[in-house]
Amino acid sequence: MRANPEVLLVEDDPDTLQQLRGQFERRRFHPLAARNATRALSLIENNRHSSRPVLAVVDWDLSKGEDHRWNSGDVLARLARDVADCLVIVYSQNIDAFRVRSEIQRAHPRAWLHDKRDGDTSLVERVARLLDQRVGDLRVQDGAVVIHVPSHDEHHHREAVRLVVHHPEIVTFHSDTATKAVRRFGEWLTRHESCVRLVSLGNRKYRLDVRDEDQPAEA
Amino acid sequence: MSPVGAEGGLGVFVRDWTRSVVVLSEDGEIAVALRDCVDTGRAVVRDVRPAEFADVLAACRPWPWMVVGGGGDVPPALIAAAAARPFLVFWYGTMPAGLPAHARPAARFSDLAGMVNSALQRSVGGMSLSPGMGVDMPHGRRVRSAALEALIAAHPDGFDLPLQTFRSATRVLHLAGVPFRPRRDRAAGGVVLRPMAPAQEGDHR
Repeated sequence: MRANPEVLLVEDDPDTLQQLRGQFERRRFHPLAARNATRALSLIENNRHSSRPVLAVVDWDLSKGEDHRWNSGDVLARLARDVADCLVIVYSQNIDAFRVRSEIQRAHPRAWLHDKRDGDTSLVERVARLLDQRVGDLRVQDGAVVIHVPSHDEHHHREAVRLVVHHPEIVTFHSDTATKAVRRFGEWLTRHESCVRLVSLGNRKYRLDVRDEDQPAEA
Repeated sequence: MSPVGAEGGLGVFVRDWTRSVVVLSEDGEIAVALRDCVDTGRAVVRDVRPAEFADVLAACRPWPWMVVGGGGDVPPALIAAAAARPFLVFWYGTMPAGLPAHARPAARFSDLAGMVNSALQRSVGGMSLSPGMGVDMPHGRRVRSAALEALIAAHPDGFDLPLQTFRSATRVLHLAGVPFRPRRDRAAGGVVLRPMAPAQEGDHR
């Protein structure tokens, strides 16, 4: 079953937004694009019960947007509160100013900061480094697919990607659909005799565990 | 449904169980600087103002792992919390009155950053802090006990708190079969983590 991971893109400049959308579509993401904070908050709300972005890229300064009811800080606070397992990158021309950094980190304490002056390519490379994780014999490729390295088989579900990029943290899933996808991923790991196994901690909480190579698989 | 953004408050007040370093300052400068040198996979830095301490205390479950402050004022809620719960207290500059005896000062920012990172990376008897939350035990098991996390991070120093504050640490150490227990040690200034004497093995009071 395929379910490409969503990426939330919040950028007030239409050309930059279009470039970012293209960059992420080429990497097999499903972009949720917004030119202002109000639209971004609607996208988060509308996707809350179906799918949730694995990644959000948020421009701190949204002054070019037409709707100023909400700002990027509101989007970050909402992500921190309701989509806590979404990796968040905030980029700004003023990322060096400690007041800006403090405001960002108070809105979303886990947000990664990126200097907008380094350009879009640098941002996309940063995203790739953040998402292209390796856990045991698994690798996330292009942030969108989990590959079992020994067999080269691919698993294409966003919830599998979410688990791998968050390893060793515990991830909470928020719908039956998501937990079913996670269990299917666990079965896929078992079928492939992966050294990584899915650990259920109850209440829709899961994490991945890497078995030592010299330990036998649990029955 | 209309989009809802700000009314739930800043992300720094979101309740969760991740290990938290609460940084109190009037302008956020210490928190911003610490965030740059702390492994954020091991702990989340919460940048708050002194007047917000009670709110952030409620957000950190079960309680903050560490509170870092600076300046001359200590929120009354911090004094009360530090007298009841085991968490590390580091203070940048001269320590004001009211902080617990186990609070530690740092004269320079580099000292403070070093103290925070050392606490995050400390290992005692094969136990160390897991990324995010919990403790990695010697045989690969992972357990949850905020009191044990505090004892490991403070080692070899201790906490000026009653021994019964560390019951959860005693319980998980016993269940995991690790021969260490919280013990009151006058020389260390409070309750510390100590190896058990052979005759004490099986003791889980």
